[in-house]
Amino acid sequence: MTTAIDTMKLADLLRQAAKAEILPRFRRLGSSDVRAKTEATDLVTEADEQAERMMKAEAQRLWPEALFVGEESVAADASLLDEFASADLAIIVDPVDGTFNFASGIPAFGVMASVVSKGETVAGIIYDPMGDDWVMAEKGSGAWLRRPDGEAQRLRVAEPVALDQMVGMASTGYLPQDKRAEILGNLAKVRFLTNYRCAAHEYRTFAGGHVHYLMYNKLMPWDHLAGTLICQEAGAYAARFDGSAYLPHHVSGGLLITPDKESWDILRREVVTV
Amino acid sequence: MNFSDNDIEFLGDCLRHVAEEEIMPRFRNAAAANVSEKTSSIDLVTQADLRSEAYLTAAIRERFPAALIVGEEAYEADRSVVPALADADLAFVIDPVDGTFNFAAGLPVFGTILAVTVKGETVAGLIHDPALGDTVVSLKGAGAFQHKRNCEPVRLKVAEPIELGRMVGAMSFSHMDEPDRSRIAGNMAKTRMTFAFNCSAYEYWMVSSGKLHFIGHPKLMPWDHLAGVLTHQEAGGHTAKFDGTPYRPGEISGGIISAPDKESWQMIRNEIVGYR
Repeated sequence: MTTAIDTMKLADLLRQAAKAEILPRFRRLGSSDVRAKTEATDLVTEADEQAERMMKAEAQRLWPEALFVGEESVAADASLLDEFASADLAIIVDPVDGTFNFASGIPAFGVMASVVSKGETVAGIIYDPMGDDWVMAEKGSGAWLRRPDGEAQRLRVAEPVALDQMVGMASTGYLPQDKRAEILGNLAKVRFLTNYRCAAHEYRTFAGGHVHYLMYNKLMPWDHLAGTLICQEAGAYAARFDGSAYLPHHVSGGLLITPDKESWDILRREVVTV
Repeated sequence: MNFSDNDIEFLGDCLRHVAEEEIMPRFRNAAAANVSEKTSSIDLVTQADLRSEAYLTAAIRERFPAALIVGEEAYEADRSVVPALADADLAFVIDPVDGTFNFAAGLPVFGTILAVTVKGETVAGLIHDPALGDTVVSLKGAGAFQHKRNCEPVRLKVAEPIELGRMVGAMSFSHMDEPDRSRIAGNMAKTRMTFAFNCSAYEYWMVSSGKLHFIGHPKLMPWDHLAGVLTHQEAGGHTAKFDGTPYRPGEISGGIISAPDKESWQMIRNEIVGYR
């Protein structure tokens, strides 16, 4: 499937923004550069704002017909969130995913972009500034790990395993308090739970076949559209907790991603007891 | 036995050497990493582990021929090396790649850990970050410092104590057995945020620099904990086993919690670990 946007060109834009605005600020932030947005653990940094500004200017020059949506743009104009899901063409960007890690000097953060056309995600890109490579997918064309020297490697999800052998990641911080305790308790049934506080790296790890489940509750599109498409193109089964497909206009309803439908059903029954 | 600045510098050089020669060239390089499973899919060993431990063991042995040198591979070959830490005159405890799962998955969250013990007491700890090149160095009684290339060392300090509902913490319940496993997992909902980096090197650095409030582990293999516990203590924190007693070289069971102070330690012990 071809889109009106050259995915590689968009991928390069993410890399340029990381090199110009994100990496130079990593581990150099003074405490004054990090300010609380809604609470102490929801940080926004200069890197976020400057990288989004750069990507927006360049994207509007290259693809003037596309609506540009970033976390910072939405903070300024919430109506963008309603508009992009039905737009003919939109680019959704998360300039620094994993801002808490970034601000703490932990090298688990990423830059993500997705392309949405008429209510459907058609391309997803996750750039890792530390490793200087991308995982990306165009709908129908598989998921790929690409390096700037042109090397490309096709990604494939892990083989399914039994519940007590599953290793994966779940974000429980946005669940209601009573459900949070219950689901954390249920997670004792799997072999291993990790959580890197960075969707970019979690999706990357899943698409590379290293883990067996991803679970999220809060679904802001810049955090999840790119990663979900990449995982699906790597062979994953992805659905909201009620079994319905996750679409660009969804911001709630949870998201569970597994290597296959059977693993999804087991986790939905045994762990995601919402 | 006194440990000189030259000795610490020597150990730091050794850690940087293995990072550059043995670890980073194999990172995100599947063919060279040559991953194999030890006991399960999350207990992995790579060529980076094996070759780094071999290099560090040889380099330390040359400088300190009489010292006991303990690493995971040495322990596989001879399990008596761990209890011997309780009274060895001089010992070095090595974790060449702590966070092997992350390393193998391509996530740059792993570290090299080195502890020095003298007659059953940890006197020095080094935690090196191969991907970024920083080293946290702690010396008994002299504080914990983060050393960055071309920068003045920064003294580490734990977080200010706050109420449990505002704390960010990590408790590795995935390594626990029932009934602790699901009880402690559920209790983590009492905190503001929980996460798991699956890497002691990072967790101890974070808890010692106030980037998170507490960490806890059920398994006490010395290469995962000795250097980190000294670092946390030197950064002003309180670390003890679940029964309240200090954690000492040679011990491998009992569970451990690191918290900003004794009062928060007791709160986490009661509210998170709960009945035992």
